[in-house]
Amino acid sequence: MLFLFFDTSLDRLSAGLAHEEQVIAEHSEDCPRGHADRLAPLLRDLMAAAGLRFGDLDGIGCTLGPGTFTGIRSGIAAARALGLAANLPATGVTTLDALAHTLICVEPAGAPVTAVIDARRGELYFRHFRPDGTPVGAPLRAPAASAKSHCPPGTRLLVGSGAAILRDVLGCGLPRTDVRAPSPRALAVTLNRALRRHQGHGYISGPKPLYLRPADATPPADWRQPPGEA
Amino acid sequence: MEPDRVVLGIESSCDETAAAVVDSRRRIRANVILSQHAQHSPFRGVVPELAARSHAERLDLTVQEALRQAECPWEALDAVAATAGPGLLGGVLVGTVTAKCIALVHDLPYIAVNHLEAHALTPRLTDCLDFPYLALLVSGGHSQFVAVAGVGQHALLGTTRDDAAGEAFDKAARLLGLGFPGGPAIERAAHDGDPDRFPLPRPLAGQAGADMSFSGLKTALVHVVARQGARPLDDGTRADLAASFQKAIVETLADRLEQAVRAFRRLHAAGTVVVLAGGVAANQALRARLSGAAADQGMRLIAPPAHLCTDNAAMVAWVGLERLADGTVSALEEPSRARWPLAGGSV
Repeated sequence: MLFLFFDTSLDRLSAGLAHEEQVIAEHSEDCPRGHADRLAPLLRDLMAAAGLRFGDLDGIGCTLGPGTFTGIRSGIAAARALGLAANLPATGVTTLDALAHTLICVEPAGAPVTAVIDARRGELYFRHFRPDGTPVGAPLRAPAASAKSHCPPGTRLLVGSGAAILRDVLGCGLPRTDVRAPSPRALAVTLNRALRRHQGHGYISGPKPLYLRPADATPPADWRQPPGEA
Repeated sequence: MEPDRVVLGIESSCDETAAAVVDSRRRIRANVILSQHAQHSPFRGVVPELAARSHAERLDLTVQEALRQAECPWEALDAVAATAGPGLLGGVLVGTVTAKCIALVHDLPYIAVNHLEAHALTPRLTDCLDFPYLALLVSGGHSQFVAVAGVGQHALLGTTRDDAAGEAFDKAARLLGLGFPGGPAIERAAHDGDPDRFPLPRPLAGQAGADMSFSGLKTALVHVVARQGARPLDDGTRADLAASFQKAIVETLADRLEQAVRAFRRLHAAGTVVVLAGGVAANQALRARLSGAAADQGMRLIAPPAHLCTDNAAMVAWVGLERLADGTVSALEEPSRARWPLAGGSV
């Protein structure tokens, strides 16, 4: 399984090529905004440097979110277009899974892990994992103040931009502030598993974004179906 | 003779998710448009984040469907063009990323298209029109008179000082309790109305220069509606208000056209064509009135078919073909932009 992967969901942009879990080319850069316009040239350069063509690949992998809305969409749109154009399976993993594995794939965690992203506006995106990386429950969005009620008891390792916030709320936990975005290695490990299920298939349908937060839009209170409109 | 060239076009700058395949013989081989009107209707306007989400979930299959309808394999494409602005950036980015990635996989040129230029050049696709000509671009986001002298060669002759004409239609439709988008809703309601029952202003009428203004017209409508009392509008009054408002916009544009033709002739004395394009150009009353106004000035009005006036990807693919012929394709680094004026200041 040889595949192209990328993460555009947070304020770093990472992309690479992997064979199974092994990263064979990678690039990461700080990218607070503008993932969309930066991504295609970066993928072009990665492929060229590796001497590969899209026909050599077995799949495309990306992060699904949560993260910035525009960043998530850039990755989803790219994965779908590449998958469609090259007739390759395209799939994704949550940014929280990739974050947790950024820690777990380089050192035995020895304790449960919670990946937590500062969602702004006083909220957190988070997901819990066993020490071996198996997720416990679904990804969640909650106000930081009430996050405690969503966290199992016990000491945990906390990774991601919301680690310090969650530690303060829980009053315990070990924040790993060095892990703020998914590493290329973690992306390769998690996406290799996700893509393996689709190996040998062409493009069927694209990955779906995981925003966790609805769009800020409320219909006017007096809205009713206009006359003559179905 | 130059061989046929085929371009895939992508449009996602507002609330239409669209993909089209057009060739250099001016054949529109596929023109797929998925409208999001139903999603935005409850909000009486386009919600940018909802629009962007919808584009991201539907554009890949829209492209696939366009290629299927065109019976066009990837290998038959010569370039991929996408609207890179102006527009709602979240949606624009979905389109440009998609186009760039397709171009990357198949080693094709990518062409970043200005949405306004796509509207302005549509009559070259539909009517084989030669340069130069005067274009009136009227949509929900823009109202401007442009002298079109060539691909990428545009001079702004006049623009709106406040609301776009389509925006004025949307606001009026909201005020009258009609649907979204406002242009078609007002046009439907106006059909049975008396356009002379409610006198409304003709902003800037008779004044020199080809600028436009529509916000005062909307305010005037607010006052007229308020004078109808607290009771809900009856259907007859609503139809008369819609017809009166539509007539005010149409007459205003006809008056401004006269000024724009003068400005255009100073640049291109030999020009004889006025092009009406953009979503508002689908309005039949506007087409009929401007056709007459253009004739009064010794000009001929050309308006593309309504389905090529509202947002579509065939017009984007066409600009791709024009740019391919020019050799002015874009790098994958080309940025996407929310604001991208078609031309510099008024001349």
